Amino acid sequence: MSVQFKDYYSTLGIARDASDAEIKKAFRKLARKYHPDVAKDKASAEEKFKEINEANEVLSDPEKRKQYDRLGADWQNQGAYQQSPHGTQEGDEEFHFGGTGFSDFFEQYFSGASRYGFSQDSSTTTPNRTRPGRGHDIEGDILVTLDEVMLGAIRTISLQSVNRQSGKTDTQSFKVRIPPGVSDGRRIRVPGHGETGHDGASAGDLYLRVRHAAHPDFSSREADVFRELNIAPWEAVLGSEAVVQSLDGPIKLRIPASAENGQQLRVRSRGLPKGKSGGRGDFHVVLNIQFPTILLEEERLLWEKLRDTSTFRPRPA
Amino acid sequence: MKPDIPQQDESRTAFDPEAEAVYSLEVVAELACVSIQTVRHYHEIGVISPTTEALEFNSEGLRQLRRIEHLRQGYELSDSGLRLVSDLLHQVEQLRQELRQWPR
Repeated sequence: MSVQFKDYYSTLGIARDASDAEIKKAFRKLARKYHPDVAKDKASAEEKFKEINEANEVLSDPEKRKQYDRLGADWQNQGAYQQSPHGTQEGDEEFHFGGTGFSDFFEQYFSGASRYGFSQDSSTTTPNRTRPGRGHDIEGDILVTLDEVMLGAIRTISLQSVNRQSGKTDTQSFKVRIPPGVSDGRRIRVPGHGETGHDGASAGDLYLRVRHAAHPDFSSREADVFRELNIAPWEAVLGSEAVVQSLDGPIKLRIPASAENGQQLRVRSRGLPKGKSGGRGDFHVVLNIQFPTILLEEERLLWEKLRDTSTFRPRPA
Repeated sequence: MKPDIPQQDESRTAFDPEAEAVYSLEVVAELACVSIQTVRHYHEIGVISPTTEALEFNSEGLRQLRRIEHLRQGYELSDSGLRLVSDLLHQVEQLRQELRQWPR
């Protein structure tokens, strides 16, 4: 079974030479439109949200984007994509995941994990010399939204294996509980759902590596959640109050006087859950001072008045 | 008419990673298809990290053990080779993770 090439640039509706800022902007716009929490038609929006996230996952990472661009150029050349970068084309069986939120194309080229044993698979060298009959472990990525991290979730995963010699396919489906607070990068081990064992030996294990889905408004680091808040210059200088949406409801925030651009305001224990401990990470609001571009005549006069009367000197005369 | 299918509580049929126990030395050796001596040896040369001093492992520890065993068998690596490769793999993974968390 060959995988289908994905055009990530058209998924995000951007040009191939788009800048990082353009990618971020396009992602945010689309993610806001299709985020499962917001969209009206949830089922189709969820599919679309996953596609957008996958495109963002690759294009916002310079290393992966470079790899993708190389791959895209070679895609018409049949020989080029027969060689899988992770050696997944070797061995007796190939695997296709379902329900992880990532396409086969992503799994094969960008997940960094392997569907076939570990990335450093030995099947090319000494396949059966000392290897016990137990099947290889398989690794794959699973896309988890921040809401799922918040509340926990149950996901149905399917794993199709295709025997290269006989062409026989076998699909197994199973449910996996995503524990609340699962961190990005953590591997969930599902025993016995890896490669089938040889000569009646037990099957290997499946490891699902958690990938937090990018969110249009929030980002996460460990259990801490970050969100930007745009404020006016006078709010920064004089202080202000604002209501910001967190992952679990609105938070009333006091912006202190003399706030600086990029300053972080921390709200304790309103981030993601921290596993079983019951504790939670913090919620950080990052202040982003915005300046007006179009001025009404009256506004211009006020700025001019401020300029003429202010004792503020941003640099030595 | 379709027969009534009793509604099953999804959480009961789903695999629950948090319910996983910590594995004793004996169990982890069996799960990784290696001898207890081999686990002890890997611990001595510092390529696996048990969660307790009594050599008990969580699922990440088990994964490490299986990976090391896989490397030794597949590439016939010596102890120092194993140490080098596992250090490098660990570092690459850490750096990739840091890169991911870098504000984009």
